[in-house]
Amino acid sequence: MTPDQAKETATMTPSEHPDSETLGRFVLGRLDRKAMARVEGHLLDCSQCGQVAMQIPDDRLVTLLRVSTAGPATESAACNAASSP
Amino acid sequence: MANPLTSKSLLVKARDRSDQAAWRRLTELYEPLIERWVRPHVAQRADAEDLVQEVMTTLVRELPGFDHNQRPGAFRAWLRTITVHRLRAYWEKRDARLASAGGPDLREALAQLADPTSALCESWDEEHDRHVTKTLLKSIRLEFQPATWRAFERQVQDGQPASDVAQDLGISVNAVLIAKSRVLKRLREKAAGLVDVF
Repeated sequence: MTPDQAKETATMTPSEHPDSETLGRFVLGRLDRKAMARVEGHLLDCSQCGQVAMQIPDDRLVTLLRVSTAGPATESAACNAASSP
Repeated sequence: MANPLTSKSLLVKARDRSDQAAWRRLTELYEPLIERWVRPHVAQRADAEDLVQEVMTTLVRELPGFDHNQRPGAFRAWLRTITVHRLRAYWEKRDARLASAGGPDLREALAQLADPTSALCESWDEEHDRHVTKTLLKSIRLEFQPATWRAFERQVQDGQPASDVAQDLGISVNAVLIAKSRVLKRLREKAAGLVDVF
């Protein structure tokens, strides 16, 4: 376990805020399940951390999802290519 | 929330030949994509369908021995290599007249597909990642409460700020962020090894 992982999985009290990196990994679904549950439990009662978490920039997965679900352009382009001789 | 027992990635499950359901899901995921890849480079739709079956047959035979080894894009590149080999074999089987119908465009396409840095390869890779994430996202939708899904969609797909989503849905900002986190976590688990989103 790396120091960062140890920090993420350490017991978190309601008054002990996760750091911004951990919050970022949480919002983007990048923590392991135990750490996810711990940060989620903290966020239920901490609007301060919510304000920090709101500022987390999107990553490649979010960008991919936004592009791939934006509309039929990608698929129709592929279909057009597929139907050409 | 997703069941912890389902947290193995689709790739890991499909490598176990006894897991027929995982193999079926992998096939359903990849057949449409491979057909889109090969269709512009063959004469008939039926030929494309045959090629898809050849690629999937190779995949089922070779997958248990495939070593991802945490290399970025390893599965995607491996699948592309199999597809290009089958496409090349398709043209080599045809007589010279038919092969020439493919002409310089086909030769150029095959040359580009052999080069991972080419524009065509990058286009295939991008299409792969979009297709896989979109399809896997659909596949996990029923694992979540409708309210969780709505909050996720509004943030991730529509690009709305969490504060706006919270106000519109009448829930807290933190609940909106938790919804996003849960769905992304599940999707990452499902897509592990297929798309590099870690």
